[in-house]
Amino acid sequence: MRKTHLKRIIWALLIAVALAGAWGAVNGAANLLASFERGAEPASALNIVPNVPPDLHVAISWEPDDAASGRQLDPLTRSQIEATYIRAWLQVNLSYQKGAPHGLTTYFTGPALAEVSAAVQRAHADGLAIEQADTAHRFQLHLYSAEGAIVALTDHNVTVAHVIRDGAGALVSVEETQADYAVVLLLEDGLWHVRHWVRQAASGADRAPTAPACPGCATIEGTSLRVGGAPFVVAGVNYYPQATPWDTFWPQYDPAVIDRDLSRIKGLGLNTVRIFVPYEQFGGPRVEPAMLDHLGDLLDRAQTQQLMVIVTLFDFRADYSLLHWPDADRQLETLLTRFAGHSAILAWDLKNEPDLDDKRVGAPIVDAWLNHIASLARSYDPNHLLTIGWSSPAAAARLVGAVDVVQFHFYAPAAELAHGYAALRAAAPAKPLLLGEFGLPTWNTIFPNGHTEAEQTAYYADLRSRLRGLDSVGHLAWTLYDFANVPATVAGRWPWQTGPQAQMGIIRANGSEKPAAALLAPGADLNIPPVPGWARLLKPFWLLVFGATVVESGGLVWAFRRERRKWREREAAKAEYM
Amino acid sequence: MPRCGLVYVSLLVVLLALATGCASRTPAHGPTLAGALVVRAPAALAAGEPVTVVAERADAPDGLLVTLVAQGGYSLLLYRSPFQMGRAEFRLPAEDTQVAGLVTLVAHADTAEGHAELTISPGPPVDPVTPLVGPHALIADGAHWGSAIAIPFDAFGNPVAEGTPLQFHIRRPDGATETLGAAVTHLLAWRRLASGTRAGRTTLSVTAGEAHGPEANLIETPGWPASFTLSASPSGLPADGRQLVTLRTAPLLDAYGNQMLDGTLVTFAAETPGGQPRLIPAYTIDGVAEAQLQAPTESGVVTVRATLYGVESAPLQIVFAPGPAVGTIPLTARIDQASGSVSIEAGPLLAGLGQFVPEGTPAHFTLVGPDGVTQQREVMALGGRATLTLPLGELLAGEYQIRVAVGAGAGQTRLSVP
Repeated sequence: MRKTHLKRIIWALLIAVALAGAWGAVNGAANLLASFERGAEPASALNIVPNVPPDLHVAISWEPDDAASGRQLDPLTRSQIEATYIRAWLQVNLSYQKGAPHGLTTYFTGPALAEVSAAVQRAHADGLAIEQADTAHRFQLHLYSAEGAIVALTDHNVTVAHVIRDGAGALVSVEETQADYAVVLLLEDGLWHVRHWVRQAASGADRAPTAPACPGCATIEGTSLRVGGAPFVVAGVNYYPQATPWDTFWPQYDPAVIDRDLSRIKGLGLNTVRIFVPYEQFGGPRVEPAMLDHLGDLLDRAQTQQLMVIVTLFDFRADYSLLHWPDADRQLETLLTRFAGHSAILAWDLKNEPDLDDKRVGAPIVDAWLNHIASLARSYDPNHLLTIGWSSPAAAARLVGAVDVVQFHFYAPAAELAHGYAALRAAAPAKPLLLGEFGLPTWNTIFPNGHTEAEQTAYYADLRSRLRGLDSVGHLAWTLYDFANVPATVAGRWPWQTGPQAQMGIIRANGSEKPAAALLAPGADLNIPPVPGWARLLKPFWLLVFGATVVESGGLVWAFRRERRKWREREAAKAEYM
Repeated sequence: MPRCGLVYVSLLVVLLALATGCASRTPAHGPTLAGALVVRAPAALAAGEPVTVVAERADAPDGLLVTLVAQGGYSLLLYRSPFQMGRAEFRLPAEDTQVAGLVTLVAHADTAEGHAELTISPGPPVDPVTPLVGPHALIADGAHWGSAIAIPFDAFGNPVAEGTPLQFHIRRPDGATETLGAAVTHLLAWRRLASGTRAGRTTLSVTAGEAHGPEANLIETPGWPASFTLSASPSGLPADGRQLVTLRTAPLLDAYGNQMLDGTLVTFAAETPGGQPRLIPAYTIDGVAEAQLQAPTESGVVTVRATLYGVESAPLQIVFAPGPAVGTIPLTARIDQASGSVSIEAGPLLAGLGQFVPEGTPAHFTLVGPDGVTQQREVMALGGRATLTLPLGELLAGEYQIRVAVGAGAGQTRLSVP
């Protein structure tokens, strides 16, 4: 190694060490200052009344108190009891997650403390990793003692979900159960504690929220859809505004753009749009009122244009951890109770392609969450249909019982549709089947898998022709527009990932319609001649391959000749020398 | 470097093919067992009893492992057993069935799943059954109430079964006993405990079957006092600013004749002739409160009231006679030419019993001169006499009329100044 290289390396190392030291010093000083600013946690010195963490969104409600419930329970005490009890559940859940009793003595006493501590320790000793979460509580007060120190209540239909993994991390059980809990709480040292808690058979269904009637809402009749009493076949498109797709749609919501686009969709002879509600952008558990208003505005405008809307919920929500289930519940509650009476909604699509989360999360957990959400959705909005946008016909065979319309996406060769559809029909013999997404990108570059508009047209015609022969309730293309920008969170960063996503529309970036746009209307003429096989050879990728092959071959020939010439020269030199 | 370029191009093609999804996928294997499992378990079980749960599926391959999750009130227990001849047995030991309540049993084998429910019943109540009484003090007016609560539990600490009967045994302050029956509902049994009308200690105990426990006590206290009167003794004292009158309430009783508890605060409020209020706190002893009221210095009527718990007595009026001296006071005036002064002596100043008035009692002298001008002088009594000395030079020649007043006593005389 040269001296100069060695010097450079040493200098680089010295600079790196100096930078790390400077960063450590600044960070340490900042932490020290922050520590002085904060001081001690009050809870470390005082007996703080327990509070429910602000990010805990468990559903809580109270039934009317029993007629003879002893002393009248004042609102402050009621809130304290509620907070203690909810926090007690949270501490149990956290203890299971931690694998050791954690903070239980603040919320439990007597036999309950002993039992719950033993249960947590037993699970840990058995090598089980348990994740548990309670999502809903409905209290009924039976007794509040005269001196205000004893409470007996029933917590009705407590919904508890758990995931059990063995020591190797393998899923053992994913379940959601409902049960009543008879509970006795005592006031000790000024704090309420759970003294007894006995699990009992659930006493009945939750009180159904009062949803407004929706006479114009879509219904199902056998394997068909009906809207306004008439048969309805979906002919639609998945929709984002062209200039503001995905994460820019709702923050830059523009009613004029929506009106223009819905008119254009209507003009294409379509009757349905499928839209997406991004979970985080809508505020998570605390839904942003402005976003709600935007969604309401879009639905109103769609209704004016006589378009139906499939609203896809929880878009880009990838967190299936049990402790955060209630967060999603609150968004669901807010959205569904707000729009339960809106007849422009064809169906609530509970999640887009949730099966793609299987590998990361585990299919049983994905299914358990979807079942949970579907059950809640029916209680919040009994008027509208439910569906789930599975990524393939095979995936759509899951949770058939949980939905009204079985929706599948299809991006495979059209010839494979019949087989996948038949298998799905066998799995869901009595449910309407909807093709929620299909399409073909017209991104055609030097990368493989490029397609031309002619191929897109042929694919649309082929797929729709095959679908006509099946008993599907309709189709929705992906998507209305080609987009200039695709967020990295959607497909990735590489050009071969974003390119196809950007050019899957039926309307080009310049606003003109691709030929496929004319093939989506119910009565469209699908008699499109297939693209000849040789045409693919004219795609940039194949031209590149051909060119590369020619260059490569030429190079090889040239190299071979040069080597041969050199060899001959060497041989001639040898002969001369000899 | 043509050969290097060739290699780079080839590598690029391979990388592109891999990155754009040309890699083959491994087909997934289907489940060995799917669908439903039959889970058999008794519907009910006594706490602390072992139980066998069976998962069945006729077409299950031998050796396929079944997991059984038992979700109880507190615990999530996991058991494993392989299928043999279509059956997998799980023996839940006694220590796993000690917590009463609903247990949800979920069996999994591959993707097959089955459910069952088992209710573990608590055993009979055991010692001790502790009565919980609250509040610990009640007003004995027949209207106020407390609660008597018991949470009987079995040998494993489970609250006993709904409907389990128990009895609250109660002994009232008057010795009367009663038994109130109750049944366990929502994990506990309770009765409203209405107060009686006799103040004192009420004692409770609870029995549940053969189980007993300690006693609990409840104090029934007197309620608000009924109307009451005041008395004062002695009466007829002079307003000498010295003597004390004992104020006393009549026995303080509530509407049911219960005497106020010792130490109950009673506040006496006295309004003197001069309009000055006096507040005198006192505490009851044996149902009566006493306070001492000092005689005012001015004669007249003092009105006294007493209050406790907002209840006010009837007013008591105490008349303080003038004082302290009574009768005619001898008055002697002498001129001492040698010293050039006039000495006026009043005395003896005698009180009601013929004793000297207290030292320092003020004597008010009034002198009316020959020109009709009146002079007032005050002198303190000393040794039963009050002596006023005036310089002779300050007096006009002529006849003076001199009067003295000490409380209710008075005297007069004349003096000729040369």
